[in-house]
Amino acid sequence: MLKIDSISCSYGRLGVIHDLSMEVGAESVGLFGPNGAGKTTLVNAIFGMVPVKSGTITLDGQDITGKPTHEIVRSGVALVPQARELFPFMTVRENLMVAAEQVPHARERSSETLEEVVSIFPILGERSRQLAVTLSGGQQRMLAVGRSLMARPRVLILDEPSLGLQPSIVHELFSILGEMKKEISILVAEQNVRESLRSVDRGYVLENGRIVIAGSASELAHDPEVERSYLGL
Amino acid sequence: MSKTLRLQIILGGCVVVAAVLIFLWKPTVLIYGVQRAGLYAAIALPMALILGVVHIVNLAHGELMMVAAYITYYLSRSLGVDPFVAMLITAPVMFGVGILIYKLTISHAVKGPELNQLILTFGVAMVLSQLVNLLTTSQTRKISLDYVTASATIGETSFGTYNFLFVGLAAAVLIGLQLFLKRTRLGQAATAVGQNPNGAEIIGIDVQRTYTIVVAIAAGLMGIIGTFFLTKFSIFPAVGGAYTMKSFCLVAMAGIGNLPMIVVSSLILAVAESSIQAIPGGSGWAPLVFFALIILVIMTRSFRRSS
Repeated sequence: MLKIDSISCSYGRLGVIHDLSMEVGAESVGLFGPNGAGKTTLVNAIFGMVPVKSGTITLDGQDITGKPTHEIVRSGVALVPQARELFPFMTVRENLMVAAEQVPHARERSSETLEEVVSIFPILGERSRQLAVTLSGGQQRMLAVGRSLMARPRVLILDEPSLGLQPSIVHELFSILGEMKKEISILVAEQNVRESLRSVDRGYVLENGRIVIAGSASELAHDPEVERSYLGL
Repeated sequence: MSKTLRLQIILGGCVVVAAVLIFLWKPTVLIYGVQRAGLYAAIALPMALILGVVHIVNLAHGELMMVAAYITYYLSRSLGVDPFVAMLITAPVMFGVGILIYKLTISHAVKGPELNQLILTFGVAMVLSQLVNLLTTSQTRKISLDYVTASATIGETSFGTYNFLFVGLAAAVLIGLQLFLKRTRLGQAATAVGQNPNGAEIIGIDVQRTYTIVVAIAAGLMGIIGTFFLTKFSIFPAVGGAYTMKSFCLVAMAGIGNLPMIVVSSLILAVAESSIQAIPGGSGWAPLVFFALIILVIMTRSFRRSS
């Protein structure tokens, strides 16, 4: 379980996350909020890419606060970043395999994991010899998700996975995430609340670095504030 | 047939015809050109590793070779051993020097614009050559070895054979680096870091460690190459500068990240150089031809890209 206990983060003197607590168990959790609410900062803080000023982040009881990113990845958290961050001049297969190589517990099972990832995203199998840079935006997103799975993470964090994708692909991606939550814990930061509420079990709404609403997916879907601000009803 | 392929065939044909003509004209020119190409390629390949693969600009590259040559020189003199035996100490020492230089200097500029690395490592180059100057004076030093003068005669042509060692050295460095990049986990991590440091961090690569080791490997290789250099050439504190420039140009000419092309570029430039030198009164023109060729290649390439 990923547990975040009253953390605060800031860029210089500008506070971005204030005393925030949340947890992700064996489930799929949504993190919603407008631009600038602090979603990406929170994700980056969990991942050791933004310093945490106070509070702790633990993974199954093990403190990972302030650890370097590569150690956090090796302890079982994987990230699908907003900008995808693929290796443009490596093939699809190389992009996937290099990710498995970096994590000791994933290394010995890399070919097995590759088969699993290709069965989730068949397009990655069809395009395995193509350079990542030649894929379409949607395919690159699939590759970014597939690559993160190669590390066999216990917790998967996705930062705005629907950004820039056409609705049918967003729909497909969230159905896949809905299936995957049976195997691993998922935290998904999203602006597309309508689509993501279909696949998550619970959600938090973040505003100005604080959690303002928390509840199950159905509670959030019927919350008047969420309906007004995020579902456009 | 595509237009670029046809162009490549025409260019390749011209090179072959030129090589045959040079060989018929003066066979030694081609032989010395190939030998010199080996030297150039061996020196440029470690730079291609750090500039082409992980995108670190190192203007102290030739100075690393110079420092290595001095270390081997003094080890060999004080221990009374062959330079190639001393190399067994020089190479690991240079690996350490690489770690030190990365940690102390380059690591602070690696996330900044490349211009910062350029100026920084230029400073490192000055510090290294001035340090050696202070410690050992600017006097030229050389080790005389009897096996260096080995020569062979084919028909009426006789030529020195020792410098073919540089060809072997270049081939070994090229094959070693290719195996490192394709077959080892660290090599693949280095490729990933070069293509996208953020992406590399995200999949669990220790990016700083990767940079450190790659720079150290390049420096360690310069330990070997510096020793080879010392066995044949005189050394002095400023000897490295010209090789930094030449390596830089060769990497640019080969195309960033393309290690085998370094060998091809070295061959073209070195044979051109030795052809010019074979013409009476031409030796002063060699550097000019070297750099003019590079300007031509880079201009052609950017012209092709923009059209």
